[in-house]
Amino acid sequence: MHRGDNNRWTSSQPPGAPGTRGEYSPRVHAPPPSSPPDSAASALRTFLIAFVGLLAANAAVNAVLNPSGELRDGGLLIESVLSSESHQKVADLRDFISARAGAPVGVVLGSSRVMELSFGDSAGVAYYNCGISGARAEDILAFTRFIFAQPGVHLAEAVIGVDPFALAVPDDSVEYGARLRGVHPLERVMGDRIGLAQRWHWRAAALFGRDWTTALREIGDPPVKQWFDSSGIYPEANYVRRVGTSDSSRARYLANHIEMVTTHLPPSPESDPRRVEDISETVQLLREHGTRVTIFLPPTHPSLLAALRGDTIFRAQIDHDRRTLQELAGRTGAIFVDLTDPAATGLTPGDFWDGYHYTSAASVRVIHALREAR
Amino acid sequence: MLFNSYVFLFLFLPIVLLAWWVPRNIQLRLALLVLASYVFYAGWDYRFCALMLLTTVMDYIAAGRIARGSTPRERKGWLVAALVFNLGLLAYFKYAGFFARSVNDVADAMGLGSIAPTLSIILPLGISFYTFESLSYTIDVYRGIAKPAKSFLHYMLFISIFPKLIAGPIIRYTDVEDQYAELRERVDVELMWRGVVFFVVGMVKKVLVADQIAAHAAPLMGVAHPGLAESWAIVGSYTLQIYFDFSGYSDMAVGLGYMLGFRFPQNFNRPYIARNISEFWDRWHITFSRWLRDYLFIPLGGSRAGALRTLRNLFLVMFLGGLWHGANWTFVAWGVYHGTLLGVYHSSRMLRKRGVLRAPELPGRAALILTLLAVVFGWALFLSPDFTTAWGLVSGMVGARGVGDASTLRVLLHPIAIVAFAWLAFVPEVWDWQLVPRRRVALGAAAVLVLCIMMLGGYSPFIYYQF
Repeated sequence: MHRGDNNRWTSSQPPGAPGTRGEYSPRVHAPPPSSPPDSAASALRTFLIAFVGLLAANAAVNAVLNPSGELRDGGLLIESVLSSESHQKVADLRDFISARAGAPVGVVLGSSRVMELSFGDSAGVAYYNCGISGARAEDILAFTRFIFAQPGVHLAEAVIGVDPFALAVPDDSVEYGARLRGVHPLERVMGDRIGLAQRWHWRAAALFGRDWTTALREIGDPPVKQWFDSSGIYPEANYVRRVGTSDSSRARYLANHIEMVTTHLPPSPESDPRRVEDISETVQLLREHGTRVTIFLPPTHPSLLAALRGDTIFRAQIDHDRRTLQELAGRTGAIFVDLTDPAATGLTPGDFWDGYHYTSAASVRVIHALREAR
Repeated sequence: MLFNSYVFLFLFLPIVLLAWWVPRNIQLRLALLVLASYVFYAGWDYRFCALMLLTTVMDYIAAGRIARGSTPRERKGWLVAALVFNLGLLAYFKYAGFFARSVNDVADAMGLGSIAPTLSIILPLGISFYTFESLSYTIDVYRGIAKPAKSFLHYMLFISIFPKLIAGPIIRYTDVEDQYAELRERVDVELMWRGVVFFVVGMVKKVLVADQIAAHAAPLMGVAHPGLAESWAIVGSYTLQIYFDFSGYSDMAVGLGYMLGFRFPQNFNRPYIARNISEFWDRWHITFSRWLRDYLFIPLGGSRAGALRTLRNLFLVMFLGGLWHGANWTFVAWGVYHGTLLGVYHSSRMLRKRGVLRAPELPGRAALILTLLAVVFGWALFLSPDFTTAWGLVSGMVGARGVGDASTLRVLLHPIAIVAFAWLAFVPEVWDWQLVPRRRVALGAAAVLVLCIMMLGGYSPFIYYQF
C-alpha cells in the first residue's frame, strides 16, 4: 500500500478529509467480494493466456481474410478485420480469378455506390464487383495491384466509379478515420442490428414527438437488405444492411446523408495530389495490361445534389475532379462518363435506397448508360 | 512512442518487463530501466535525451551541494542556480518563441514592424513535467524534506522513468526514495495484477472513449461560426475527451508503474462531480495542483496572509498554472479564468464565515451543475488556438450567434458519449475499485484490451503530450 492510504497521493490526509481544501462527496466504494478471490498469479495467467489467444485468433482471421495484406493496413495482421470488408472482397477476388484461370475477367472498382452494379457474364467476360465502403483512390489502386499480382490473370475490362470524396484532400482523413474507427467496426459486426435499432429509434422519436402518422407508417415499414448481391458471386460475404423502404424512412435517410455529407465537406476545392497520382497510376496500370477502362462519376440523389451545389467548395471540388478524370481518360485512352446528375440516367428520388445509394433496379439504368458510353 | 501503439505494446513493454524482472542484480535492473526510459524518450527525438540528461546532472549536483552546504548562503546559492537553470531551460524551449511572437504582434499593432527575432524552437516532449519534478527535488532537499538521492542512478530513474515521463503524474523524489529500498527481486503478482487492471482501464478510456468522441467531434472543429448547438457540441465533446484522454493516460502510467513494482500517485478523482471550483482542483490533475500549492501558493503566503494576499496568490498561481500548460495566451486566459473563479469562491467563503454574506449555500446538485458549467466554459478557452476561436465558442455557447445546427448535438447523444456521461456519473475511479484477482475479470480485461488494440486507428497522441 502506498504510504498506508490506499495507494493514494502522499498527502498526510486523504483527499476530502476535514480541513483539506474542497469538500468531497462521500466516496463510492465497491462492495466487498462476494466469493473468495482467485490468486493474483492465476488471474494474471488467465489474462495472459486469454490475451495471447485472442490476439492469435484475430491474427488468424486476418491471415485468412486479408491474405494480401495490401489493403489499408500495410499488412499488419493485428489490424482490425472489422474495419472494412475489403479483406473479404480481396480473398474472394483471388478465388474468382484462380477459378477462371486465364479466362478474361472484368471488375467493377469503387465505393458502396458501385456495389449494385452487376454486369453479370456479358460478352464472355465474367465480372467481379470490388466495391467497398468509402473507397478512396488508394483502395482502388490497391485492388488493381492485387489483381495483377495474381498468376494468369487476364483483366479485359475495368469499370471505376469515383466518388467525390475519393480524391479529396487529406483533411477528410479525419472524417474518414472517424467513420472507420468509430462507426464502421460496429456497423460491420452489427450492421443489421444497427439498422434495426436506428429504425426503432426513429419510431420512438416519432411516437414521443406525437407524430402519430409517421409513427404508424414506420411501424409497418418493410425493410429490405441493401447491397445483397454486391460482389456478384458471394452474396454472403457482403456487407448487408437492412434499410426501411417507406417514404418516411427514405426521407430520414436522405436528411441523414445530406447532413453527413454537408458536414464533411472537403476543406478546399483541391484534390489530394497523392490520390490523383493513385488514380492515375491505377488507370495507367490497367491500360498497360491492355484493359479497357471506363471511369465514371456515380449518380447523386437530386436533393443531395441540390444541397451540395449550394456549396461553392464542393462545386469546385466536383468540377476539379471532373477535369482531372477527363484529362486522365484523354491521356490514357480510357472512357470518362459523368453520371453525377441523375437526369443523365433518368433516376428519380425513388431510385435511391437511402438518399445516397441507388437501388438494384436503378443500377440497370446506370449499367445501360455505361454500356452506351462504351 | 505512445502507450497506445503497436510498437509499445508488442515490443517495448515486453522487453522492458523482461529486462526489469529477469536479472537479479538491482543496479543492473535500474540501469536497464533508465536505458529503456531514454530509448522510450528517444522514440520521439533522440537529440533531446541530452537535454533531459543535462537537467538530471545539474539538479543532482545542485541538490548534493545544497545538502552538503556549510552555510545558508551557499545552500541558497545552489538552490537559486538550480531554479535559474531549470526555469531558464523551460523559458527558452517553451516560451521564447511565444514571447518573441507576442512582442512582434504588439510592435506590429503599433506600426513598428517585427522587432524581435522569429524563433522556431522545438518543444521537447515532457519538459514541463520533468522540469517540475526536478525543481521539486532541489527545493525539497533545500527545505530538508527530502534527502539527496543515494545514487545518480536512482535520481536518473526518478526523472526519466518512462510511464510518467511525458505527461505525469508529477511525482516527487520523496515518493520514490523509499520504494527504491523496497524493490523486490521477484515479480509482485499483486502489484502486477493491479497494474494490468489500471492499464486496461486507461486504455479503454483513451481508445474506446476519448478517441471515439474526438473522431466524431473532429468535423465540428472546423465550423466557422458556431451557433448555440455547435458550440455546446464542440465544448461538450471536448469536456468528455480531455478527461478520458488525460485520466486514461494517468491510469495507464500508474498501471505501468505497478507492473514495474512502483507506486505512482493518483492524478484524477472524478473531477466533474466537484461541487465547487476549489474541489475541482483537488480532483483534476491532482499532482499538478498539489505541486502548485506546495511550491508556489504556500511560499507566496498561501491563505494565511490576509484576504487580499490570498486572492492575489490564487490569481498568480493560476496565471502561471495556465502558462505552464502551453505557450499561448488562451492558456493564460484559461488560468486567469480559473484564478478568478477560485478567488470568487474563496471570497464568498470568507464573507460567509464573517457573516457578511448571508445567502445560503447552493444545494449539492445545483452546486455541482454550476461548477461543471464553469469548468466547461473554461474548456472553450483551453481548446481554442486563439481568442477569435475562443470568443466564437463562448458567444455561441451563450446563444449570441443563434441556435445553429441542432443536429450537431447528436455528437453528444452518440452511444459512446452516453456511455462516457454514465461513466462520469456513476463509475468510481479505478483507484476505488476492489481489485480482487478473479479469472473472469482477467478474461474480460484481456478481451477488452484486444478490442482496444483492434480499434487502434493510427497515431493518436494524448492531449497532454503537447504540454
